[in-house]
Amino acid sequence: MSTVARRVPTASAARRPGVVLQPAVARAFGSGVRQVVAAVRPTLGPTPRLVAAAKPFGGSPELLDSGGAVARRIVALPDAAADVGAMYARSVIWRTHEEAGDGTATTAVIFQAVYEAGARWVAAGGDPQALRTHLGRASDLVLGALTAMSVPLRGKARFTQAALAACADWELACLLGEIFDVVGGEGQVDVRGAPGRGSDREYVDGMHWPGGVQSALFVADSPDRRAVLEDAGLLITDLDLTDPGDVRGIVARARAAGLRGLVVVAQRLSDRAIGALTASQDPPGFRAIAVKTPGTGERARFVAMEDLALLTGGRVVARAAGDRVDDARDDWFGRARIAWADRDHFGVVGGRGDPRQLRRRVARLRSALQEERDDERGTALRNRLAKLLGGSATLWVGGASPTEAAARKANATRTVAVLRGIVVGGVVPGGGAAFLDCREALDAAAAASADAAERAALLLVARALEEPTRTIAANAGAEPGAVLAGIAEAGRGAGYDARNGRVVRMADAGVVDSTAVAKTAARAAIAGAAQALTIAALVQHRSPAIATQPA
Amino acid sequence: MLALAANHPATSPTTPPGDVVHAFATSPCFGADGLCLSARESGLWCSRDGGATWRPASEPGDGRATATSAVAFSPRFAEDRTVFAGGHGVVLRSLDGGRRWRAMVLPSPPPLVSCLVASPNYGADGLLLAGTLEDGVLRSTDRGETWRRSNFGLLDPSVLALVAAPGFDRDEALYAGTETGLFASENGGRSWRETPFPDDVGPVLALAISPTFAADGVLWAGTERSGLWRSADRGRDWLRVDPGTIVEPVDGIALPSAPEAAEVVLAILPTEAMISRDGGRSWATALAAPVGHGGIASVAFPSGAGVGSELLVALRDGAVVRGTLDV
Repeated sequence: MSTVARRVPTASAARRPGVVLQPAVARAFGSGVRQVVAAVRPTLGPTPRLVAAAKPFGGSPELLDSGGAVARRIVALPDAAADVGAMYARSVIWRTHEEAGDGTATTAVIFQAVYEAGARWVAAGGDPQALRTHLGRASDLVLGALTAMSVPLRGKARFTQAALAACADWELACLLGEIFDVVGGEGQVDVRGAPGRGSDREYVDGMHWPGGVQSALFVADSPDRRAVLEDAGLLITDLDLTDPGDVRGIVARARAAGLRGLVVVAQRLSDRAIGALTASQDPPGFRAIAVKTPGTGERARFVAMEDLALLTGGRVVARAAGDRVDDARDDWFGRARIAWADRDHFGVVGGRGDPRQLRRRVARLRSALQEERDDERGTALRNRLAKLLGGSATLWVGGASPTEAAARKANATRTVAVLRGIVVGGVVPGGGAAFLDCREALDAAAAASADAAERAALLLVARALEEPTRTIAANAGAEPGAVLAGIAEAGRGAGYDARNGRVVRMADAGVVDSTAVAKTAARAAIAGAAQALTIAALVQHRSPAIATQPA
Repeated sequence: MLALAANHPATSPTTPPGDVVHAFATSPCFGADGLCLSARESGLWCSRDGGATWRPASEPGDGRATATSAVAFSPRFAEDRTVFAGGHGVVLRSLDGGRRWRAMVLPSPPPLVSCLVASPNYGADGLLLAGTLEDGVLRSTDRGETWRRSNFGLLDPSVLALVAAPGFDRDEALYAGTETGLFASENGGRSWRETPFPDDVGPVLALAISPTFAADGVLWAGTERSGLWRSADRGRDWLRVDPGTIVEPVDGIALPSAPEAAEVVLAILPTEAMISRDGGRSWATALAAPVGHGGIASVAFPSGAGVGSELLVALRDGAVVRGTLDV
């Protein structure tokens, strides 16, 4: 177990204000990089070792197995110049975490290897700007090679293996493997804390939203406090329904339309309106309930109502359009095979909307999702898409203690992001094998180049791409040089299966990595190092601010 | 020239007046047992003499006939004697070759089963899929005992045809024809994705997969209003192969498995069976439906479709014509 101590900066000699110039920059910056990467390095591979982060005010240390989390806990180094390098490395690592949810330790070790080799080349008189330019080309070659070797992943067993590689938790991997086999990359997967030690999954058929019944009266006669209406109609509105006469009119129209049940989706119902709706159950054979209009905020509410109307073939009775509920006609009712509601949610199964319009809306959302770069808006689009596609899954994650449960939940959330990337972008041979296979393209380009800086950039990246395999082997207690020799003998696609201590064909052994994660890690590491190599001076303040968030 | 030769006259339908055949299937052991089942409006009917005579199959419960709309034999029928039939809200299962039946109730509200498919790997996975007119695809992984909706990504819940790939144990590929298009699953029906099949050509009534699908990726789709379509890349691109020739709804498609008949396609229409020997580019009438029987309901090749092989043509009123697919 490695230990990371959160240090509070002190007014030491190392903290004196001033400007640091080359060659001291490379030494100090490199020292900071080395310290951060050394802390992250143990987390790489299927046999990760824990990193203990001391808490600022004592108590038992925090146990971490994610490179991103480890980097985030390093908030300052006592040496101000080294601190600049450390914080820089931290931001590069965190960028991968933010973008891909995984691959942080891979980013760290490649970044360090490229930076240190590049710094030596610059120290020997090389032009850092030229090196940076050619590192960009090397990065393009690596990304191209990774794309070329990427294959789609299919089947529960394969997803389970990929999940296991990402989370190193067999129970979670099995559950997530099944979930992704069912809902694919576009499905909604919610990760929630569960009481107790165990974990479980639940599939919800159809579309559902937060926002349950408007009154407990609507579920009072059900033992599980859940109302289920078959072949139901839906009146969808963002209006407040306060007049019982309006409600009675809606019920009369629903009955006349031959509906067996009615769900009034409204912003609010008055007590008298709820009373009128409850009284409509008599005579039996017809049931009516009211649920809250889904979505928080005007925009989200409007979008959710539009999607619900599309899915059920109804029409929104909209305040903004000046609609009134007593204008409602039969064809304004949405229809569903099943509508259900409990205290917290309501949903529909088998909406009777026009499948053609639904397909067009789904295509538009898919296209918008591909273009969207903002995480929050992307998540909102994905949730809408999942609802329209008709299903979602919830993974309930437990743990032996609240701390372990929280860590497993974070691990599961990260793995969901990785698996989503896999569904979209496919997989490459895992355990660093894909990076080793990228060297061929780099070596060939270097051999064909007459430019010294370009050759240096290509070859130092080729060497740096061995670093993930070296680290995984070392973390598993193997001798990295011997492992690399074995892989070279076995040929393309071969890598080190650290769980079993053997050189194998990684794809055949089911050891795969997300192509998206591998590409993000390589891009972030090489671009981060290329930029760092052009730093010529460091400016340090008397009391540098402690970084609480990665830049 | 290829032609359908009717070797026998149509049998007597032996059914109540006005009855309609919705589906028809022959036993995988037809040569030995002569068993065929006919899913009709009046219930499930059984023949043990190759369609010459018919009687109602045993019904569960109080003996009242349940209207049936789909029928499917287990791929391992020779060993497990299992056969299924679908109706309104139920799937019937027999474990003794169609003598006794048990009804398994589908999730409420009850949907009408339009088609049934047993996994080609049924012996190992026990997987059965039911296409329904209202609730999309229902899936059972315990040989029909319990059922669950399995519609993630299936944007049209009105399923009219289902087909499993011959290499299902490896690729888990399934296709569903619906009112508005065609959907594919690559995980045994757990989730679905729409294919680029045009959504404005009318309902997809029939699907057929090439016996060598793993190698050629050929898939056929018969529509109600727009003839016959073909994809040669597992459903990614589609082309209508009969511009204008086929004007009736395509209720069924049969593909011979013999290598010498690789380009032969049989399209089952309400009033005739049409045949193409050039992959669908030209068509000829192979068999006109005998007058007075309400048209053709289905065609079955008991021992596999091939040139010279026996076939049974089930007519709408329950009668059967036996013949051969001749050169």
